[in-house]
Amino acid sequence: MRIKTIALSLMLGLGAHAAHAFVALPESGTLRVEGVNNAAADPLFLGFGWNPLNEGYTRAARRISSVIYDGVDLGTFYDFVYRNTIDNTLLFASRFEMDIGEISVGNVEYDVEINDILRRGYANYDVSVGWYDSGTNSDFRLQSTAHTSNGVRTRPTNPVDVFDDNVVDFRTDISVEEGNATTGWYVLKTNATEFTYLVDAVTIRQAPSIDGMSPPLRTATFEGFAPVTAVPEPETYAMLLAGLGLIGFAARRRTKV
Amino acid sequence: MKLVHVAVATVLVGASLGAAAGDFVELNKSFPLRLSASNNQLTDIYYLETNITMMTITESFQDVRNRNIPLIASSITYNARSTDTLAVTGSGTLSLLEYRLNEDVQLAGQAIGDIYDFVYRDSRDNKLVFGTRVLLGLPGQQQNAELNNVFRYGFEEDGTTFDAAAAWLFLSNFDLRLYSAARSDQGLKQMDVFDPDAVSFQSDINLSEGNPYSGLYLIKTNATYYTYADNAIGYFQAGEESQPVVKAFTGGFIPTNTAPIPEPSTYAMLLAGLGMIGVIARRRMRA
Repeated sequence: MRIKTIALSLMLGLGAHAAHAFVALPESGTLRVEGVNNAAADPLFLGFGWNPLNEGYTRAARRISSVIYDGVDLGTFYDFVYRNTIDNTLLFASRFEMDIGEISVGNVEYDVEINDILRRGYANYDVSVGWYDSGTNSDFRLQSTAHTSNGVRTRPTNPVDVFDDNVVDFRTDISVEEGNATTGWYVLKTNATEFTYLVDAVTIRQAPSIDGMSPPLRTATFEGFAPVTAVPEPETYAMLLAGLGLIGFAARRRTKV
Repeated sequence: MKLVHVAVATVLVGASLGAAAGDFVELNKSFPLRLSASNNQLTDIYYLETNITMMTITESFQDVRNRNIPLIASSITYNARSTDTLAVTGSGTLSLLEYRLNEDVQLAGQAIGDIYDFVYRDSRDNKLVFGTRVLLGLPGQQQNAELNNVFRYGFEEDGTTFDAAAAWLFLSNFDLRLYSAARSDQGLKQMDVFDPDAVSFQSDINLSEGNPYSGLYLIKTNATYYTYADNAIGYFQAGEESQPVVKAFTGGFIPTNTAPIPEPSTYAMLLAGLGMIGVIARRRMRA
């Protein structure tokens, strides 16, 4: 009995371990990488108990924003940046927490749902994706992800994703009514070592219903972090010129002596 | 550096050992009626840890997305774990006694899916376990139906209220989890009222949302036998995405304490047997 249990544990361990890795986003062919409901077998899941702080990362920045659409405060978006302590590469972690179940527009009440979170600013960077559970009971998995700006029921292109190097789509299904009020942490691992602040870094999107009307498509776009390649500031160039000048001056003095 | 790796590896192994938690949970007969499950398999009270290597699959199919979906498991070995310590608290093997397939179940006049109905016996305590699995939007069926609740009936018989303990497991990795369970005949957006006869499983099975298959939702009972009833299984669409609000029923197994009445053919067999014994006895007496 004991041997059997150990063997089973080992098998489970191996199965789960195989799933623990960031998945590179394809740039051609089938763009979308799908997860599965069973976390133990989910290729996008980073593992039970996974946390960037235990994996050689330190937190470099965080922003917490209220998300408002149709004039109603829907919930909270968490935008965290982690830096690798060895090679300085960055992780961009997203999490959304929904506070309300329904919204009234005029006389009509709609259930509020979030189907996609789009992150912008990733053109020309290597991007791989994974997600982890923050430890609440309501964290919803990352259903799928792709290098595209297509969300659920984007017309007329759905279901074919169109490649967009700048945008990463996290597909999810956040709904208070359905008992999935929060996302897990959806993480973008990049080869960028610097980050900046973009006014349109994040879009959360509720897909339109089948008929396109009830509820209609709804989106909210707001600011957040995004990778950037360090470009020297004008002062830096001035400093460089001054330095060159000084060297030239010194060289002249030496030749005179 | 090496040390760090070893430490990380240990953490991973530790975590994967506790890759799940949960057990059969006896449902309350008074407030709070509805006990919620969890998105996190580590904290889901109802989740039974198993995997494909611990099952005997006798039938499966290839779905439209080319995924292999097990349909019938003749035996399923599971581990029960404590949600507090994640330690294994027991394990059992569910052995299939009988199953029924309700093909093309209808909602609002359209075929929406197939419902599988299983009766298992759990080797852990020898009790009967009723299993329900829903597959929606199969080829030829309506593609936009959503089921928010699945009901099982028959947990009260002649004033006796049977135990009903809920649990669930993955038959395929694409199955949708159980959201909550209650001894109630009410569904999503309705107020639960204690109903000794009914168990309400809540979920969100929907093809267009990417979750056309439910997990195997289980109820363990202390009834001795099972029998067939016409309206043993109910299913409910709450109309979240502007679909109609509808509930419908189909046939299935229910618990009972009444021993099954033998078929006429069984009596004939008995008589034939008695007759043979009589003949043998007569021959012996003569010899």
